[in-house]
Amino acid sequence: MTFNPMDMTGRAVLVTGASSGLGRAAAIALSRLGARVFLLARDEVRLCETLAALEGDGHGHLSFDLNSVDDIPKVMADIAGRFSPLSGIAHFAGLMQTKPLQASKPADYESLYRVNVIAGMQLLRSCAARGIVTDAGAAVVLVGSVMSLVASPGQGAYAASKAAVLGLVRTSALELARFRVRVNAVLPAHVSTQGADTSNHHLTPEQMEQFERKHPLGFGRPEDVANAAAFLLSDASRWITGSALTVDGGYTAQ
Amino acid sequence: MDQATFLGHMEESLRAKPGSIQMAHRFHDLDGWDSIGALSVIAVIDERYGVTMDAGELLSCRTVGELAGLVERNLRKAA
Ligand SMILES: NC(=O)c1ccc[n+]([C@@H]2O[C@H](COP(=O)([O-])OP(=O)(O)OC[C@H]3O[C@@H](n4cnc5c(N)ncnc54)[C@H](OP(=O)(O)O)[C@@H]3O)[C@@H](O)[C@H]2O)c1
Repeated sequence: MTFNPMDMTGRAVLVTGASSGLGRAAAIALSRLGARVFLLARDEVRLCETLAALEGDGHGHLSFDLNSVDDIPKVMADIAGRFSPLSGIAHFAGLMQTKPLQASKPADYESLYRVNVIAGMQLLRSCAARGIVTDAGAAVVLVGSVMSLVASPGQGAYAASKAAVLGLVRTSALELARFRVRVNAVLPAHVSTQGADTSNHHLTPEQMEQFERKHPLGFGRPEDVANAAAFLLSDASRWITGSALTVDGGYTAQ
Repeated sequence: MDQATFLGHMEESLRAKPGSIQMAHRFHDLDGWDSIGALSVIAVIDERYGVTMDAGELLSCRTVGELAGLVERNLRKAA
């Protein structure tokens, strides 16, 4: 057998946002590395499409609205009990929005913060509870964005929520190290997905071209982000915690 | 759709003086008309009329009146 430091055989991993875009690609990549994947998002039909695209057996799924943040601990206990204690959690569920400050309302900030940050916090909290992650520990990946680091007009609510993700990742990396739980973030730049395309609907084709030129390697593919997350979930990154990996085709290098 | 209210929304999103924007005005001639102004107009139309439009649709309207017409057609389609 060839040596693969990213091998995930026998690992159970929860992927939120698995019904679409980057989360779907991450679930597929993890299944190819041998993981048993548990898919979570609201849309049952699209979750089943992801399920059908997974390699291997023993996967699971649940339709759940992460806006119900108070129910997350119970859902995590159910998943750990009925599926398996987890070796990994990847929080790909997230909301994107483009709205200038002038048009923004407190409710915009609250709704983005709820799914992008508070749901992530609840997932992390469950790692400190007994029996949710394996005794050998686990790895958690939250999804930030290059907007955690740099700005763009119209991204106030989004950038604020994604900057908060970084603070949450660093703090929980420190707090959860004693349970052998590692916590990291991936910070993607633009990858075409349903969510990103909707959020960019205000850009004309010429503006999209300009936007792509800001990515020295061009726009990314869902697999590019999925593979980075898989690395952070695997033992290949066993000494990495509290870090943020930009996966951005060079967007933030300039 | 009430025209005065529509113009009020345009003025609000472009930070223009009340009463200063007319249906016949061209967007390119308006103060504050730039990419962020366009974003604000898209956001206000989404919020007030529940009509989601993309940049192409907005930029296809040369005048404020053409945009009002587009929003109205969308509202009728939805009804
Ligand atoms: N694509 C990019 O360019 C890009 C760049 C940087 C960061 N990101 C981040 O990557 C993550 C995934 O984005 P994406 O591009 O894959 O977007 P997407 O295609 O819109 O996918 C978003 C996923 O989140 C799930 N979700 C949203 N609200 C939810 C809720 N209340 N409860 C449960 N699940 C929910 C959606 O599932 P349901 O609708 O089925 O619930 C969907 O599976 C987001 O955090 C985004 O900010 C994306």
